Amino acid sequence: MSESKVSLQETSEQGVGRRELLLRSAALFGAGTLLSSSLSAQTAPTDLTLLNFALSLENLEAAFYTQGLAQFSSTDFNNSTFIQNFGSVISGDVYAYLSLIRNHETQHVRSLQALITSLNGTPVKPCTYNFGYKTADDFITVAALLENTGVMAYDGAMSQISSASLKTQAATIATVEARHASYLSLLTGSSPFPASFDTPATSTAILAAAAKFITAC
Amino acid sequence: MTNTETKKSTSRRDWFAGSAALLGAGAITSILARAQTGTGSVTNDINILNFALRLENLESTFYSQGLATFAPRDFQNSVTVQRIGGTKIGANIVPYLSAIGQHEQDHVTKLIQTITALGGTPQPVDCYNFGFKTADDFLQIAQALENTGVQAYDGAIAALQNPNLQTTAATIATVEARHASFLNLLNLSLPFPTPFDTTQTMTQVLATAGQYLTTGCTPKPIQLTYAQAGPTKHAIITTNQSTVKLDASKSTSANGQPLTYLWNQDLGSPLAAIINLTFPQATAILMGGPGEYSIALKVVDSFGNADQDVIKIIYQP
Repeated sequence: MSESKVSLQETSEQGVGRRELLLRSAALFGAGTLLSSSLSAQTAPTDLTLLNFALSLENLEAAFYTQGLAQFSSTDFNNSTFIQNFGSVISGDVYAYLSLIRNHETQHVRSLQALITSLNGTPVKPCTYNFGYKTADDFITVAALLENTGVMAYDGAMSQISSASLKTQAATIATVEARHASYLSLLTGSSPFPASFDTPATSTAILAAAAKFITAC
Repeated sequence: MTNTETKKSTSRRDWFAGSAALLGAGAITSILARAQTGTGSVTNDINILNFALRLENLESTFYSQGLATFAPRDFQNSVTVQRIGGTKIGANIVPYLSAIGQHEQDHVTKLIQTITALGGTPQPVDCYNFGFKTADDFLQIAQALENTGVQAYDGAIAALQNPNLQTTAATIATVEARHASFLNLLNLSLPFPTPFDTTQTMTQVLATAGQYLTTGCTPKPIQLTYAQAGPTKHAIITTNQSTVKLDASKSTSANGQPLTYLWNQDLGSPLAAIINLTFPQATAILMGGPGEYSIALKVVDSFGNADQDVIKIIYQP
């Protein structure tokens, strides 16, 4: 049921110490504004902080797809173990659908950058990432993890956003991340919709999970 | 992607064209009147939750009707599933549709509980006519309903005032989006057609839903799956007899399907034996002599929704 939750815990506990993860999460944000505000429970994060939190995740996702789609070909995905139980209709579209997901993440990045700038903020820059995949199957597994994490992040942040219009924007991104997550979970052989309610996660938990993939920032 | 774009546009166009075929304007107006009365943030939230409940009831009924109408082989042999090919989807289509139906039922339950806790009255269940004749029809309507669900929640979240309700709505919205993605894929539409989902207002959503509502039947009042082990919930019964008849017939099932019953003796009571312990009418033999006996009842409906009640029997011979 809580597949994505389990994966999230695995990610945050794998090898790297909590302190190290928090330091890397802080690096993700330069000044680490979100981290400090989410660690002191009393201070609610501002919309600008939340937008930069979302942007840091979207930066990571956009880089992930751009790298993977440059590294693997349509044939690699067609030959992956995951795809073997699906017919040609689904297997033939995998590369195109992953490209479409990359386009969505890139558009989320641009839209968030524009919103942050319009609020007189400074958009966080992408970091250097290492996603650790070797095969097309690995890539799909990490993709499913990232998208399910994205859903948890947006669901968790929703009630903290002050502006109603930003809340709607976040909702319309959250449901797109959920569409990606459903498709990618299906490909990995997991349930596309494992629970009646998705699980919201705190920004601290999400940042700790994301930090695993960051090598320099 | 051009290929898939073309495939996609057909079914979506059908859906939006179909939504023009609505019920009479009167029905829609009365739905809106119910949805938009009152002021204040709690009333506002209750109205939005009732709007969501209306959609979730529609979806939940849709899946229970479809899964009762069609056999697993109808789905497996449908044009839709055959066209997708492979072994994975065909083997899982019924479990997937059942899971979606269960999710909608869980959303209904959650919304009823939330509306009731806020002091509101849950919207009664409507009467529906989905008009599907084949499993393929069913899968296309499912696709349309789930995509509308996403637009409805995306449009409503920011209007909710209570932050906890916003979180609940978000965690439902993303599940509807997961369903929509899968059903789009199945129907050869793009699972994620745009970088941002679009929103719909309550008026737009209810106009769309209106095509599946029928008149001329009495709407059923909302009921939860509910356990009642005695003349009232948590009843205390005093008796001078060592044999007590237990009656759970006041229990109700949320989806109208038969309940399963299980009577049990609570730990800590004097020893009792229960006869017919999986039937609504059972008998307790109070073997431990005078004292207070606790007897529990658990009921479960066909969706797995459960409720419990405990009655106390005071045996004074």
